[in-house]
Amino acid sequence: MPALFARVTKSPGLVHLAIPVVLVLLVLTASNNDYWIFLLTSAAVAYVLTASFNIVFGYAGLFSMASIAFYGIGAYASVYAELHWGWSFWLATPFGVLVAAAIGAIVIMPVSHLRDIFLAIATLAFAVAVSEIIAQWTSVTGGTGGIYAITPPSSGELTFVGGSVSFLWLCVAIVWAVVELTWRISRSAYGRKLVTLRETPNALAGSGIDAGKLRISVFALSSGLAGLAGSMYAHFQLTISPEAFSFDRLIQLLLATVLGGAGTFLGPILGVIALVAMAEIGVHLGRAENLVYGLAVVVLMSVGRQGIVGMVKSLVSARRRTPGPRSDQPAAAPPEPIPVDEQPQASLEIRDVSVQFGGVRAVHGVSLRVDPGRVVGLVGPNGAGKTSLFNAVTGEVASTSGEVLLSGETLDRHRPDAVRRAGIARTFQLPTLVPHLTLLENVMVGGEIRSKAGLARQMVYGGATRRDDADHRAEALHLLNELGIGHRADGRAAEQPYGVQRLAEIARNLMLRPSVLLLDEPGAGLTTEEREELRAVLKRLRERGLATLLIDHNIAFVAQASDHLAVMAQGELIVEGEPADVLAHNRVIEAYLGSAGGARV
Amino acid sequence: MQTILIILSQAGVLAPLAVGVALVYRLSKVINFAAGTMSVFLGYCAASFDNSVPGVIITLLLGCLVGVVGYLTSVLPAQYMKVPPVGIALATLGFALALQAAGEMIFGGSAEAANAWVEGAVQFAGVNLAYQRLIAIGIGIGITVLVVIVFDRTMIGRTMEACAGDENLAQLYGIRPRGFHLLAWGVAGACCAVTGILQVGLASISGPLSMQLLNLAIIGAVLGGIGGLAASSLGVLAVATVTAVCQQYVNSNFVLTPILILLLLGLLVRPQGIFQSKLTADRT
Repeated sequence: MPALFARVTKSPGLVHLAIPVVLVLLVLTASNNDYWIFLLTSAAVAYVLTASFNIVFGYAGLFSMASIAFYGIGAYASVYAELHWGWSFWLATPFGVLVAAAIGAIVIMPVSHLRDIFLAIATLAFAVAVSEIIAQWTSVTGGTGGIYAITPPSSGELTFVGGSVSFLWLCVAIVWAVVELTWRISRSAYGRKLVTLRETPNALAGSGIDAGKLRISVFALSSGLAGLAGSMYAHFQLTISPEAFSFDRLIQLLLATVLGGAGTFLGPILGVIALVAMAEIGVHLGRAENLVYGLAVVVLMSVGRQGIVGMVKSLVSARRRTPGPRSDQPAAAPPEPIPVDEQPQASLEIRDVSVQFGGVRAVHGVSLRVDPGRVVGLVGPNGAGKTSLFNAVTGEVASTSGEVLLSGETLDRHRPDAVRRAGIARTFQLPTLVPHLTLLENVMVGGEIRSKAGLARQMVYGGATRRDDADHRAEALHLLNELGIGHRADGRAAEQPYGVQRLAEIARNLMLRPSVLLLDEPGAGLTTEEREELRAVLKRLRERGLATLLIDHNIAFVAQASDHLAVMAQGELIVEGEPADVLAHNRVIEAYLGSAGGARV
Repeated sequence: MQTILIILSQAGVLAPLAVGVALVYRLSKVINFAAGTMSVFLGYCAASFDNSVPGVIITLLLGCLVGVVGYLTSVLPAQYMKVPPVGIALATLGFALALQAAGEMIFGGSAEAANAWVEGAVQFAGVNLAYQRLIAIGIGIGITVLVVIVFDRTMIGRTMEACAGDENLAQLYGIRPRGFHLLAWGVAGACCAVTGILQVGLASISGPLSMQLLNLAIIGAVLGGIGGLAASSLGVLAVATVTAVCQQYVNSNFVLTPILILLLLGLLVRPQGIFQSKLTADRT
């Protein structure tokens, strides 16, 4: 059995191809049994709802408790369009989906900046308010009594009555479409961005990606899918009331997602199967049903966030014990390198920049210039203001005064992602890689800045998006090879040694094709050999024509790697010039060692 | 006067619950989604003793026990497995489900009420003030102030703050963080018991009430500033005020919608909490 799971989890493509076949077989098998038809239709609705929550919570890490509200909104909006405007199911359902998606986008806007748990509370408050409005807005929703006698969908002579085989076929077709969409998202650049949003949101801005826009898009997508599930439910039951969108349904939704494995393609499928099985057992348990549900949630959350999929994966990896991607042996020969002949050239000029935090003056009137094909080292004791200067250049903090010019043009530094798109990339003191993604995928995230396809096209992962992806994959692999870590491309970032993570972060920045690269202590924590590799990388960056500004505390390393050296102390630039001259300067010796007079005292 | 009384009694009932939620959050950064169910379960327990003094004492002790069991079953194992706070919050939701089912099996699912501690009322400014309501307000506020003082103004609170900041560092100074987690959850459980006891004495208690109590308490705590105990209880007062005013003067059918609007406005204008210093907030 674990071997079968190993094949499935290693090649989810097999599952993807098998799903329509399995769905058809299930319907054919159940078509003579009313109870099985009912059960499968319920499971289909539950799957669409669970998939919607899995996208927003599992992939993007946004703990939205409003999914149940959008489920209700989709149901009521589609039924309202049918009853009051005479629309058919085929028009009313997309309308319900659009209404849910639009409200989802509007709701997330004011609260998208909140941290996970606070977002959960804000969305929970929204869900509760929606349930109250549904219960009280009698003229539209029928109040607590709900709406009865909903017209079943029809097409020509064929009517899809809820509970019949024809309606089950309709649900199965929708499920297949949702499975396909989820599959494509899990493979696409959009999916990688969602995982980045979940695990390392800071890396998004660092790759020139607008995290706010991404949050709104995924929330709208998830809300729309929940609305679709709502419309399916309404036309299945042919009656709706506020109780159908209650807290109990929310608990089931959370449970199915958590049970199956949040953030996995197979999770919602396995979660719904487990939930249906538990419901069947619950029929025999009576009042103890919730007790079993509750204990299952407690146990599964204690095990981890990946539920059944995660547990099976752990079992499989424990059994296999094969060498992982940490092996230092090179993988198969890399494809032909792609010449990076589009390296943009620009000079960076920092002009009289100051940064103040309350009463603390972190940077005071610093001016510095970095030309293409030059490496400028920036050193200084701790607290000299070097990183604050970087932060001011890249928009991570607002400067109090001064300006930054890129090839003579003043840079708008209000948003870090806009600075990246302008051509200034940077690394941080600690590598900001997405632990769950492979090194290759991490570097590919940097290529998103040049994607021709928008978010909507990325979601459906069509031809243009696949071509984008193939280009990014090839370029990312080339960069990893250039930095000497190509053989680790398929290893997860979290499993890589520190030095490799450092180099991978540089590769991701190079994927942005920047004209200027700011490196904040790239040599920190590296061994002597790794530092030598880094120096070779810096040499290659210079040859590419990149303007590089380098901070490090290892003076010898910076002096050897730089063409020009600048020294900061107490927020000011005290000396700059040729590395050898600067290091011999009295003010530099004084900044590091203190004055001779001071020492005597 | 009547509106003020309604505001104070609702705040008196909810404030201990909100302070319990804030206390747990402060130490472990976990929102206890089981708080409402714990209050209802303990309210049923108090009702089964008809809110007698020994019954109240037993309910308070049981509250501590329920809190500790909640920590040991839904939080400690997840923390050990390094599950993120969102996952642990989901685990508390599972604990709530299990506790609700246990409550239904033990006490049945129907609404329950208890006799007032003191019968009668006093006339003030033309309004009839029931002694029970005045006592409930006094107890709610008194308990809340006591918890705030103990955990904000004494060495216990400062040590707990040290654990919240950096457990490893706290251990180096001889502090046992697990003991403080147990203390926080035990006190939070007792706070839930106080809410349940007051609610069952003033009106009635039933299963569906757990969601409403949880919503009002959590929204109040977040609105006020969940990092601070006093700020959380003041947030609950704000929620009670808006609810009562809207019910009295706008539309009596809408209880939660005005609170959602208040919460969204609060998060937009002052994301760290209306009554919380920006320097100590950590929600964005």
